[in-house]
Amino acid sequence: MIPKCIALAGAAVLLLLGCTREAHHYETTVQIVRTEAVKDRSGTVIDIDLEYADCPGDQREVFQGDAAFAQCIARYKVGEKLPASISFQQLPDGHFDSEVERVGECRRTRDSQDERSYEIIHQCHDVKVNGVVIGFRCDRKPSKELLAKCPWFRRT
Amino acid sequence: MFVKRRMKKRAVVVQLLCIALAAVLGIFMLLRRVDAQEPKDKGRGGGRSLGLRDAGGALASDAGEAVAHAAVGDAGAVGGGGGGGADGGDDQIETAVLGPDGGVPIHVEGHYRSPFANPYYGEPATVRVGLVLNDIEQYDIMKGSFQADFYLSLTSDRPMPSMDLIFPNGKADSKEVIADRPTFKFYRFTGTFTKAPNLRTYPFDSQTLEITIEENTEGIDQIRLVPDQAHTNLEDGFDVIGWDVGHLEARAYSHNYPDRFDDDDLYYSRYVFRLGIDRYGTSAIFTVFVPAIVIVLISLMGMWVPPGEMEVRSNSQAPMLAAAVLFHFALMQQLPAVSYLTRADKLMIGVYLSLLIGMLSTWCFFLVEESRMERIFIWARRIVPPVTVAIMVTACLA
Repeated sequence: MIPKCIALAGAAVLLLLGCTREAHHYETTVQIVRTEAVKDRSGTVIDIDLEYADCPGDQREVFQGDAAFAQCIARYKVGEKLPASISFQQLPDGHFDSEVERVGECRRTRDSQDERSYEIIHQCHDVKVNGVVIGFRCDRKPSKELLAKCPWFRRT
Repeated sequence: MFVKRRMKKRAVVVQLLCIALAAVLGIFMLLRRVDAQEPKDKGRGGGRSLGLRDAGGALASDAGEAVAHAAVGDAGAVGGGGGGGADGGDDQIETAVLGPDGGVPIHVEGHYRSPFANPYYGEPATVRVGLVLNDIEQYDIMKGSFQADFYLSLTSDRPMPSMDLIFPNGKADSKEVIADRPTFKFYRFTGTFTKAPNLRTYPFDSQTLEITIEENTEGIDQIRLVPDQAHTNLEDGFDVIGWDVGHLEARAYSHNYPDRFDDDDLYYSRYVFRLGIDRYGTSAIFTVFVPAIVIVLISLMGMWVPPGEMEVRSNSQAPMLAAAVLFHFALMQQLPAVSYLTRADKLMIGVYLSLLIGMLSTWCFFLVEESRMERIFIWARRIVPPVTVAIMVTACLA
């Protein structure tokens, strides 16, 4: 017979393991939209805009990479489609976030102090009135269709 | 068994006070509702006629959005300057001619008679409107007002006439002209805008913040505004405190005013930017639903207090009624007076019904023989809790 305290401790450990915020990794294809090397006295970084080619809507990732990433990504051209690795994790505040870890053969390490990088998640469609297009609407919350295909866009 | 049928004087006073407080607050809330008028849907049927004259053009005339709006002077006019002709439509009026009876000068040539029409302008300039929203501050749901800080770009295929932009649903507090060229104008605006909130689903409501832009004097015979999707966005890190950004939308349509003077037949191009925001659901549950359910649960506990402890039993109900009314009153203070029931109101009606049923079960003890009290006590426990649960589930889902 297992003592009650050991059983309770075991249950607590299982509960803690269940609540661990473990990162998930996904593979996808991205398209380079823009790259811009930013030179500074203290070094070079690169701004890069990517579009998720396999995801529905206009999902866009804008981030900055360090000098090593800048040197590596220079071999690829704007418009090129490349395989990419995405990590997806729950943050301590309860929200979820994703990061691009690799583009082509270039590995990226995110600087925790980086406030420059962001992503635009939206799916746009035309607004029609009486059969005539008069504008557009972009939904900023990921749709079920998007999450089914690209689950790393979940945020809440 | 049950010896104490009459409540003590103190308990009676507490009961009466609670009920009186609830009644006074209830009457006050009712009066607020009576005073409230259903906000008229400005977008429906307000205009004189529909902008169908231009149905074949790049801009669709949106019948549903023809806004009856005569107070142009109230809108914050923000003259663009530069470009082509003079501000204020003076050029167009110069070419208008007076009829034999005097009055409003009209144009005898061209499609529109209005003195602000320009039959000699040629093809209208198609102006792409881009808007990047930097910030939304001080959103006040009581007034439906908010402050917006945004960049506005106007890009056209041919030189634009003088741009005299107005904001029909607000006013510009500041304007910075960053670029002013005949085919490209770029501004930074901060302004205060209003849009009546829709609170039917409160506290799970979604609101739309709207910025409406219109050319003051040049009609659709000179410019046509078109939303520029590629240059309409939210600034990086954009956030509305307490709200979740749901969507953004931009549309443009031809708008006509009710006749402000004779032959006021010119249509004006209007651009509308909308930002959809949703109240955080978790916050709504904890601030509205949890307190209401706790009130009902405390009241339900009285069902297990025997008639012998009549004072305890009754004090679990009437004070809860006062608490419920106070809570409802506090909720209503956060919202403007509306003439319809919000989801929170429906929830509170469920709470009142639940409390009423509990109080009725207690009052039954004063109406029946002592020999039947135990039976009532048992049946009240069997009937009231399930009925309360049913009422509350219905109220929560209504």
